[in-house]
Amino acid sequence: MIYSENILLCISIPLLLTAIYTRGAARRSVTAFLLGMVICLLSSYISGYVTLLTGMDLNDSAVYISPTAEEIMKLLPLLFYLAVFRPREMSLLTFAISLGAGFATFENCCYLLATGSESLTFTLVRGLAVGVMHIVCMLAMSLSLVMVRRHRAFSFSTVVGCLSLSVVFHALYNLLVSVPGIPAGIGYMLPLLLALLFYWPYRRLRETFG
Amino acid sequence: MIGDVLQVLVLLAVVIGYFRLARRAENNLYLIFAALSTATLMISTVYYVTHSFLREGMRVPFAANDIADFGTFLLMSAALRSALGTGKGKLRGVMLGAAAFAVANVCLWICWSGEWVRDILGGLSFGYFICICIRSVYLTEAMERWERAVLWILCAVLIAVQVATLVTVDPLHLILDTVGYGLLSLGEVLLVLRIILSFRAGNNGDAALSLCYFAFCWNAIAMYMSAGVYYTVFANLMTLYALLVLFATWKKVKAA
Repeated sequence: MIYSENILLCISIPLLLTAIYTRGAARRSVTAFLLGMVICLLSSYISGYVTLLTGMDLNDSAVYISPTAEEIMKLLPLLFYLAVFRPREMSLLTFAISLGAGFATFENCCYLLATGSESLTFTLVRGLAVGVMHIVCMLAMSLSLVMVRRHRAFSFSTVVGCLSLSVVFHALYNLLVSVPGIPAGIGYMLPLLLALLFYWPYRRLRETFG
Repeated sequence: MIGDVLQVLVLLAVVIGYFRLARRAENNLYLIFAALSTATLMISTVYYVTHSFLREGMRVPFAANDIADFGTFLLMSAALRSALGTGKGKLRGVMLGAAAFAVANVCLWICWSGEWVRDILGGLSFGYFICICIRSVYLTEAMERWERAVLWILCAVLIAVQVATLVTVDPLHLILDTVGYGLLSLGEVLLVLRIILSFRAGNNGDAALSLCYFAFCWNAIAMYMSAGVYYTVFANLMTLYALLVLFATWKKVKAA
């Protein structure tokens, strides 16, 4: 049993202070990182509540409920930032990546505290797989949003369509890693492969919008 | 299982095809939407195959591949709207008819499965896709007046037959069930013939594109109305329609 709220408080206070004493892009990144951690905690509440309602066990909940709850929760602040602050393309991408990084960091912290961090292999796998997966999902979602907004095709159907892509990818990852052995190995490699694949469109966008 | 693996490979090739076309086209938004929708369908199939393999026999009321399928329909609607525009024609009657057909489909799903939440949420996206497909067929004048009339009659008779199967018992139930599959297959054959004629007509590709999307939509209707071996056949036909949509898109890009 760990107290996630206490861990969040401990990590967020220095970050909050950093956000106060920084400006511009640095402040945006730190705020998004902080927001990512809060969103992680909130989505764990929602997943836990739905798990109780449906009567699933923890493993099934991770496969069937968490991907949908987490991806929807991660999309909400991104949409808020997009609608209220009307950021430039690169700013939106940086915000999304920082949000994903904050989410992954907090999830990894809680997981390592709950299960122990003695094994270096396990810790590395956790960092390279889950950490990268959340960032890749956010990168995919923000790239889609940037493209949709650029072509003035922003609508409910396009946003939900793009969301479904990240939900099913996240669910596929969780499904694969839920079975030890070869399936888990394939699952751990998936986010890294996708991160490599996304580097090309990201670089092109960075060159276009600076 | 082999059909699903083949479907994944073909869909991957289709996604690559869209990205190659997007590099060539000036207005590439509809190509990106088409690529995203096909990628979602592909990952959904991968999820389904993996789930069947790793968790055999386990059925969950609302799984990620269902969400992905609904997302595929929304992204396909976005692709079709971007490719053909929203149009200025007044099609209120047609839209009402399309919405009524969609609602009838959702009611039938609920009667068959009893999963209210999934069927209503899925029905919203699928209904939207049906409306966009029918609207695009009218806007591009992809079908003659009498062909559209035949299609509406087919839809009405199909719904009537499916409703009748709910309240009848064997042997009448079996006869009506067979008639239902016959009507679904007839719709598929007629649409494929119409697509071939449209490809041979040599126009700008809009009509062929709207017909291909409509055929995809009809195949999805057929898939959701089927069970057993029929379901497998219609599910595998998705691959063919995905290829036809890519071919129609290629024709449109070439014409532009």
